[in-house]
Amino acid sequence: MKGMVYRKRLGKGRYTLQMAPMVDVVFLLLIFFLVASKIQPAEAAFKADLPGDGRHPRPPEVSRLELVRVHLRNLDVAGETVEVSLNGEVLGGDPFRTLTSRLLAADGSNMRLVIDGDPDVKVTFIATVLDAASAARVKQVVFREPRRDAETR
Amino acid sequence: MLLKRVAEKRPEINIIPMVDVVFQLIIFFLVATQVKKNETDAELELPTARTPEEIKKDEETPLIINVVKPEVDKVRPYVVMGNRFNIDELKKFLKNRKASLRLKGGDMPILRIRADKDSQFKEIQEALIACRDIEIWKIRLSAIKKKD
Repeated sequence: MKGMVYRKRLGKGRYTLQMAPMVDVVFLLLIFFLVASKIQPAEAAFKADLPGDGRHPRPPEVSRLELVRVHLRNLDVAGETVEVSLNGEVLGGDPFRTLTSRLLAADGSNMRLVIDGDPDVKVTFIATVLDAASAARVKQVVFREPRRDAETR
Repeated sequence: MLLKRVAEKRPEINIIPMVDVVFQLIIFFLVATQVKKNETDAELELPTARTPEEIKKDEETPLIINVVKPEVDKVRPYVVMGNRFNIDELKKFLKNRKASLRLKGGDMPILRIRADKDSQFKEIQEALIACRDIEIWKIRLSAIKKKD
């Protein structure tokens, strides 16, 4: 009898929230977004600066750093392999490993590294040079300006 | 008697409209997040490296230049805010936005370049010149940190 009384009271203008269908919908939404979303790896970045020119001179402290030049040259049409040279010297073996060890051996805190290369060198190799420079804590990394048609390497 | 009647009508929180509003908010934020994500989503695969630095909050840039590989678009490789540009169009775009890019102190922000691992060096060099023309000196080149 007590139960009956309770039901009667509920029926008097009160209504209950149906939780089960709501939970169903929430789970469906959750699963949909889990499946639809693409998990992206966290992005990081390398620091690099730009060289100055006549119109836009760089601040003077840049010139006090020791200048080191890395040049990349494509060895095949597809650009899958590159030749790496450090201050004009072509690096042998695994060139990027050699580059890293050379930079690590030098004093990176006093170094200005200029990255130069063939116009069609792939960015993945540029990132590898930046990786080596970052590992050696090179003070400043700059990119060389693009060469114009009249210029020869 | 009067007091008793008032006590019978107890105030209740109506849950259903609240759930409606919550769902509306969820859907709004989901759509809004998607719009913002598009700026860094330009069909590209970033290079991987061991030592890139985490992007700090204060180095978040108001402008990101995406560079796609030649197979995707050789003529207009730059993607900024969902628009494709060639280098001349990019320079014009940056010049037009120069004033709005300035930070509160008057300095220009650090600009981030997200280049596909198979994009070409010359495209980065050209983009950097376009940045220099609007007095942006510091850039960040995005990469994915390789796990050891």
